[in-house]
Amino acid sequence: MSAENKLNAFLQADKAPARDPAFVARLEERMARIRFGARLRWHAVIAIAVSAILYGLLKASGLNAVNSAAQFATDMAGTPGLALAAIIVTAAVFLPRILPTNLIR
Amino acid sequence: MQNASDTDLVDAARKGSDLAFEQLALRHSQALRSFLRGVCRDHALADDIAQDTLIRAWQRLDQLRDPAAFKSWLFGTGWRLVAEARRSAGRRAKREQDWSDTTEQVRPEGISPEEAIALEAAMKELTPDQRACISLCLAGGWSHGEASEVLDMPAGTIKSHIKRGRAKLLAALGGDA
Repeated sequence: MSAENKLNAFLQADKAPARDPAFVARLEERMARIRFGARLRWHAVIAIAVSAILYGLLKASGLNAVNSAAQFATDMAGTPGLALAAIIVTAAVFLPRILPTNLIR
Repeated sequence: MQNASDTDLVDAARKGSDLAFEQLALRHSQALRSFLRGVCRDHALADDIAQDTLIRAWQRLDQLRDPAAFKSWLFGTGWRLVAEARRSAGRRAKREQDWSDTTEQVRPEGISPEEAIALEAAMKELTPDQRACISLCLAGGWSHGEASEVLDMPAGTIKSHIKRGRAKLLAALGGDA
């Protein structure tokens, strides 16, 4: 075997396998974990925004949050405030599914 | 999807298809890993960097200007990550020790243990740039022009690195350059 052939054989020894399920599985797992983390952050932001809006509505209603939570829910029923809250919650749940996934990567 | 071009797969991946990106990864990971193994001289470290390269490419796919040049862009990203990994000297030192322990296991046929050790030592003495050029062009069959794009070096420099690197490797085998 000539030196040139030996060198070629040596260089080809670095060749990775054509199929490596473990490598692919590891990559997919990392992608899934990153995707999950991004979605979690996105949902957390929405939850905080919804909480802030609901808190604002509560304050604007002039009710005492501790003593009048049940009263507040009753008062809000049938009012535009409740409809707004429903829209916000619905958006929080469905927006991440509607938006293109690359926006929340 | 297996027959789709890189451009189509990049477009689909940009729209959020993980399946499209996984197809791209399947298509190019063998060549990418082989290139990185040649440069790093450490299969475990090279595979770690290949993973990081693919993840970074996935996250920054929007920055790719020409989807048809995905492969070059991917290899360029890998090459930059190798440079970053080189800076973490402690990690590399440990990996090099691991590699030296496993050199015997991957010795190709037709090469004696002494020759394999001599070639490995010669490879490690080459500069990272020389190893990258040899890994891409001699082992991977890339043209000088393609390697020039990936490694961001003039084609003349690529040729020079290959010539000098090859001469040193052949000298380690006792052959003529």
